[in-house]
Amino acid sequence: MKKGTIIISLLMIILCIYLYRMTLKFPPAFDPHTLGPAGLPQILLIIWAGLSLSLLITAWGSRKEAPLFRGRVGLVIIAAIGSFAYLVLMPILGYFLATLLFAVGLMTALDSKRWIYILVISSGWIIFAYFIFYKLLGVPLPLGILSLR
Amino acid sequence: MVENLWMGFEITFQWANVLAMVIGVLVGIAVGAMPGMNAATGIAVLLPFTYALPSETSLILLCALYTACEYGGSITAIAISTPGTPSAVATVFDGYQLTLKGLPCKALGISLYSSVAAGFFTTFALILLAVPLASVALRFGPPEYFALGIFGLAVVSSLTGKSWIKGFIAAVAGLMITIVGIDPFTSFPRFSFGIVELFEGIGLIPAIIGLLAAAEVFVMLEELSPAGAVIRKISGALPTWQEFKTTVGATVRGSIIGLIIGIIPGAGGAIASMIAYNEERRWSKEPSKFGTGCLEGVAAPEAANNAVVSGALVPMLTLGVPGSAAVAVLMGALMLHNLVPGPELFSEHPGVVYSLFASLFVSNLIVLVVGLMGTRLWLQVIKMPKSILAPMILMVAAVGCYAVNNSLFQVWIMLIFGLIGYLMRKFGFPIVPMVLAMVLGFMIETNLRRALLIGEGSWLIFLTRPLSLIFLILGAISFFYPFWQARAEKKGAVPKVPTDTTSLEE
Repeated sequence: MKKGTIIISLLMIILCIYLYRMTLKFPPAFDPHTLGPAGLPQILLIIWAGLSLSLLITAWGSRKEAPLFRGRVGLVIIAAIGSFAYLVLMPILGYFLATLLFAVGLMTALDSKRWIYILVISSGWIIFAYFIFYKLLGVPLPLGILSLR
Repeated sequence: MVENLWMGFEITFQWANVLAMVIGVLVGIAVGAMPGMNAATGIAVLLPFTYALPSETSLILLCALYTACEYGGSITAIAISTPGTPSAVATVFDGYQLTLKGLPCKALGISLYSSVAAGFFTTFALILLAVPLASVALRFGPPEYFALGIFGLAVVSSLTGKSWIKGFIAAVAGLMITIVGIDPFTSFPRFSFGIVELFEGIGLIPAIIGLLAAAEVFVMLEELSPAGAVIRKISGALPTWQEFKTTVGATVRGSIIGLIIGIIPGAGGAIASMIAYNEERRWSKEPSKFGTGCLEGVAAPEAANNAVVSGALVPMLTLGVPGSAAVAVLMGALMLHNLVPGPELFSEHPGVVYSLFASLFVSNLIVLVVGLMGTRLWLQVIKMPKSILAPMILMVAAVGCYAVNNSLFQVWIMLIFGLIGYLMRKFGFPIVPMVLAMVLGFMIETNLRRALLIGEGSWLIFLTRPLSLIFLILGAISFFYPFWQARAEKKGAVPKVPTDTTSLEE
């Protein structure tokens, strides 16, 4: 954690500097009596950078600590990649197809071997989402390739 | 008044109105439980169906929905760490921890009892004190809104956990997140990086669902035995009478806070529940138990968010000003029936007003019955294996975030904040201060700038207005109290109380 905290602190300081430079290009306040669009952001960024520096100094002087990632980080990575793929495919395949693939794929990847359970729950959710969100509430869920019919 | 109220009950108990309340409650709980949906959305969806109904029946139906919706949001907040409405965000902090301990029905039960009790209590207040309460709303201007926001944010010093630096960083980052988007004063896009979707800012609901629900999914998956259930042993026991008694104080305090904040136009259930949670924690003799599955931590915000329903009706009925977004849509229902919201409504249409009051009592009873029947149903969701539950949470969260404004971008926001939340927990940054800052940030900045305009640049405006000064003083006390307490403990002046906060942190 010590190394991680030092890296995070440095990244936050860099981010604060970068964002602060952006605020220098903000226009001034439309009225001199109040703060402009850059007013509060600059105050907050200075505070944030100061706190990050304190954190960096504190972490530098601390002893080594236990590792951060102790469990099945691989599953987290699988879920994150699967979620990203789900969102990328959603406009292409449509919400219903993409969700079915995501649900079946991720549940299978997470060691579940209850195929019937997986298919029933995935299909059940698709049907629920279709009737409640798409039809009743009128949420225009993307249809993707299904809209070509 | 008593005669009018009696007339109101007679109207309420007509079979059509009873049916309307039952439908309103069922739809309200369902809408509230769905992430991304809220009372305003539910009322807007049902509004066209009420056109053909009598005016009393329409209002009764929509108010029943509003009442039930605030309770409904707590169901998914407690069961799967996904707040169904913004008002249920604070319920996650302790409600989900109770679920992890195998006591979801305790949390659901306390949420239900507190919501119903608050509904009863504040309906009484609405009937008896509508006019004087409205005068409180009139005293709130930009300096008071800013000071209220600072007061709400000041509790961050007691939410920082093991590292106050990390807690403050989380809070400042949360405030910065609310700044992204078009500046409301100059229309200049701030930190949008040329992305058009960011002109509207980072959606509060998707970001919070990401930080709380999606991050929790990633943490859940990292734990061992993913094929096992979330909780090995789940108790279906509802709260005992003794447990209920311990939450009475929290319910009363939450109700008062929710009622007062509900009266203030624009403040809303999210702010009320957050402040109620903060206050309950601040004044508790055991603040360290908050965030670990404490019943008072569920009772206070749930009482507050249901109290907001009655509070928000006060300015609408007395001044013709909506107290919340849902009430603004409700005013549309009144206008559909050629009723003008405002003080004349009491004298010209007492049947409408007093049947609405009476229906609030009865709707709360119906919520209690439906809630008790539904508690066991939610148990089945919680018992699902992690390998099934985790993807389900992500799918529910995805469609809820999409429904916020029919944009896939909001779902991306949810996912990105989910990863941010996961990494925050890994590196020991508490999430609660960030969520708190995100809820209050917009109100703080816009009212700060408006107040300075009114005060012609003088910061003394915050000190010369009594309500603003009171909130700022209370905020300062809240902020510095934990540091004073820690120093006093070191010197041995007071018994040591653990200052560690939520177990949402690693």
